[in-house]
This record gives sequence, C-alpha cells and structure tokens, in this order.
Amino acid sequence: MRDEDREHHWVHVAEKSLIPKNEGRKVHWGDRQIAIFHLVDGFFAVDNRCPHRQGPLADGITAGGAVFCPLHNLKIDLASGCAQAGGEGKVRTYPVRLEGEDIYLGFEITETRIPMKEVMAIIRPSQWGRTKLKLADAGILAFTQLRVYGHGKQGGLKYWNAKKRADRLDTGISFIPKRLVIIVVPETQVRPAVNALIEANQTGAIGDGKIFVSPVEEVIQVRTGRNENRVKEMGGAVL
Amino acid sequence: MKMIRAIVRPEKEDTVVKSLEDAGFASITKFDVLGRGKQKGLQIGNSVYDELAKSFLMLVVEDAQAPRAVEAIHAGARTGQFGDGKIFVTQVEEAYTIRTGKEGL
Repeated sequence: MRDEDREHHWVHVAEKSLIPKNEGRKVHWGDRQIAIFHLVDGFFAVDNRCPHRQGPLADGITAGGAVFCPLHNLKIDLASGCAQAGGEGKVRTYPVRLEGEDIYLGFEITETRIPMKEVMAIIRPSQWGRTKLKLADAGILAFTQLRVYGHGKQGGLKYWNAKKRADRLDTGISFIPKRLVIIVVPETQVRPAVNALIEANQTGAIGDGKIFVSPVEEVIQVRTGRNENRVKEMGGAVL
Repeated sequence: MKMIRAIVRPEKEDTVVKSLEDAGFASITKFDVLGRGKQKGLQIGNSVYDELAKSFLMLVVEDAQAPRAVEAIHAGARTGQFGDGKIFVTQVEEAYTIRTGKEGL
C-alpha cells in the first residue's frame, strides 16, 4: 500500500526556514524524535534513530538523497528509509506535506480490534453479594444481573417418599430460583472473571451453577456511540 | 444473523422501541434487569446505588441490517450522560420459527 492510500493524521511540526538546505533538524512528537531533512529534492522525514546503534540521524551529513549516521557512517536513503551502505537496517519514514512555510508530517491511523467475550453465569441467589465483591477484586466492575428460574440436568429438586426414604418421587420443585449474571470483557479478562465466579460460587454441592463464555462482535457505548472493541491509534499513540 | 442486545435506561425504553419500529424492526424481547457500568453505579451523598434498574432489549436481525438497528437504538437511547448503556452485537448461527418449524427469521 502506498502512503497516500492510507488514512493519515497530519501534524504541523516545523517551518521551512528552521531547516537549512542540505541539513537535518530533529523535532519531537509525543515521545518520538523525528529527523527532518531539507534536500534539493524537497523535505524528508525519518525516525531520528539509526537502526544500527541509535545514532542521531538529524546530525548526520547528507549527500545525494541519503544521510550518513554521525556514529558509524551507515548510509541511509531518505526516501525509502533503507540502509544503502555500511550496514543493514531500515528506519521508519513519514510522508511530508508542505503548505506555504509550514511542514506537516503524516502519522498513520491504524485500527486494532480487541476480541470481546460475554461471560454468562447462572448462580445461587444467595451467592450474588459475594460474587459481586470477587468480580470487583478481579477488576470487573460492570455487570448486568437478573432473577431467573431454572434447573440443571437433575431436573430440579425432587420430593422424597415419606414412607420409604430411599424413593424419590417424580414430583418436586422443577424451577429453582437462580441469579443470571452477564458480563462482557476483553478476551484477556475472561480467565480472571471465570476464576472469580468459581471462587465465589463453588460450594461443591449440586446446584452451584454454570458459566458460559461466548464471543461478542461489537460493544458500543450508547452515550458516545464509540465502539469499545476497536482502538484507533495514530503513529503509536491512542486517539 | 446477528443478535443485538441493548442495556438502556428504563425511561428510554419506549423511545428505543419506537425508533426501532420506525426503522423497520418490529420484533423485540425485553426484560428488566439490574446492573452497573464501570463507574460502579451511583453515589448521591452518602447513599450508594450500586445496582441500577435497566431495560434489557434483545432482537435478532439479518447481518446487513445490524448497523441500522444499532443506529436506531443509539438514536433512541442516547442522552449523553453516564448510564446510557451498552449495545452488544453477537453472531447467531440458526433461528427457527416455532409455529412453522421453518429455519430463518
């Protein structure tokens, strides 16, 4: 993909007059240092770190579209960022746009998707308070819960035959009150969430409940309309 | 198909349902739930309300319709304040109509 095809955020970093011809100057953007060179063919921008020993490229001597690292003379082509002589390596290049006296650098906008999971648990109603605390301890503060009725594969609670204690009758309470807890977390939080749920709810007796984990494609905050499962980054900084 | 579940303010339930209807989404299931977001509920003075009443709306739509349904919920539920809720979109593999036994919505 060519630079022009990508989505860029253009940042004003310097004025033309600050960079003498055939020389480089360093500018700061975030925690990054970028070297801008003023050559016969125009302006070029690369990371201000030689791929060899992190030498400050902005202090290097330029010749014919390339710069020589002041530390060990590695020759780097400024248009491509590739080393041409004296060693190997590549530095990151930035597209440059000129508007009058101003120099703008283009920072690529990238979007990463965070896989989100839904953790749904059916637990004893009496354990809910404990569960809430354990989840909070694991850093999971958001939840939705509701009262539900159901039974597991035992078919609910069955009455005993009062005369013959060993006999279980067919009748009983088939719908047992339970609490359904729904939390949606990034994939990395699934383990802590499941562990917290088990820790808070395991009594060892039948009826402790079940936990279901399933994928969620999109998570949208209604207040802002923002997709929480997508992170936009600009040249390494979160937007 | 996609299942769209939205946790919204109970007082916004009607406007969300209306907004969905206007966008052509008639079928919906709702239930009343309790919950909180990452702000850990509300605190007013010394009173802490850590579980707030919310409406849980659920609908299943065709893949291509999902963004429109999300948009409709967003339009109906938004106030701009904390507590507007969340929308979750998940994949549904199969759906059947019980009356006819036929597959599909």
